[in-house]
Amino acid sequence: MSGRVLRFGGTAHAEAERLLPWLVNGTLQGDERSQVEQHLADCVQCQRDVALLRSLQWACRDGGVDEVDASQADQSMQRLRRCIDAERHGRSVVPPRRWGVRRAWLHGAIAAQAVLIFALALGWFQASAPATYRTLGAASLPTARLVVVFDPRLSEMQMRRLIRASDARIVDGPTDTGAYVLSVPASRSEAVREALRAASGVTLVEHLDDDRPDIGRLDGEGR
Amino acid sequence: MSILPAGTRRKGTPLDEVALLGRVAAEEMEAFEVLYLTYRPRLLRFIQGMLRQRPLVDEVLDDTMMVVWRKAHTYNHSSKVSTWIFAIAYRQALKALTRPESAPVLDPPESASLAPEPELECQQRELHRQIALALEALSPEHRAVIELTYYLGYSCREIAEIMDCPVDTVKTRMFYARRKLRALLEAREEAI
Repeated sequence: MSGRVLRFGGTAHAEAERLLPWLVNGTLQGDERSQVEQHLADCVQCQRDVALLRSLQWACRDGGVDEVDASQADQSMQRLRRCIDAERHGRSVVPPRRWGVRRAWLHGAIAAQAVLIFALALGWFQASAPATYRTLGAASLPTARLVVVFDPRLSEMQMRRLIRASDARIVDGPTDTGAYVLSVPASRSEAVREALRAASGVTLVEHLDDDRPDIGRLDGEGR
Repeated sequence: MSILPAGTRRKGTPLDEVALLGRVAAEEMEAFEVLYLTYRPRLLRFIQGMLRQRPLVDEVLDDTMMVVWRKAHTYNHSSKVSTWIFAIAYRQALKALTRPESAPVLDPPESASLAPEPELECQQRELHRQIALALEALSPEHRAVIELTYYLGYSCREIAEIMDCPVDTVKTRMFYARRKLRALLEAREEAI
């Protein structure tokens, strides 16, 4: 649909033509009705339109809804009653949805869970891996890790900008579920997490707590 | 289950919908049930006309009636009760269309019966079937305008209230809907 509103001002034909649907359904009244009827008497094109509109009207009235038996109406009413009762008792209630409608948020929740489980498993697995070689002179600033899921619509440039602004760097990912592990200065990890949470284009940010024994280090980087 | 209290309404007596909605606003469940049963067939048909997807149709009907229950006290008598209720249904249906699962899945209209019919009746039935198929190809807003005009019999001004848009927009939507319908019917005719 174009969304453009047509201006019908102009010829008597154009004026009458736009009102024909409501002449046919019998709701056109007063001056409008008499003007349209007057035009219709002489306009073959509008007469053809009226014939089509009458067929349309019959087709619409013909094709009713599927037969709905009383028990179905009863069931629906009982469902509504339950919602209303629950609401009256202060419970937050949404009319029951079918499985299909719930799928969207459920998929999101499952994906988020999968990301966390994956990250935890990865941490556990790599805790046992030998640390990579580091020079003695290398600085060993304490770092923390965050698992982050970006909105898939985010461009790479936007993602890089977000990461740079957070003073973070990617140390792992993307995983199958699209998650990245970011390394950030430990002293700022909470602030970075909050900033990322507030940023548009980030759908999940969680700490991977380095102090937890089951997480360990992901890349052997010194702390 | 009998939902009409004894003596509420005799058969053939017009229902005072404003008074009924007032009772719904006062949280009278019996009034709500009467309103629900009165509107259910028309709402189902209207929502089905817009969505073409049966599971969603029932949900949108539930959502609509829950809004009616919660908002009955806001009805301000500036429009007919039916216009007010269909405006809610229209908004709920549009909302449902934004859900990712809202692709239409209704079966196409049945083909003509195999039983022998008088020729004129047969032609008429075929035309209706062709129109029903063509309606499937319209946008939900275009279908809504046609359903509101020809199934529910609303005036242009009332449809503007229901769709919450100017009268000229209704006329424009009807204009495009008719143009598209005509083109589809002509294309089908040529194909036959």
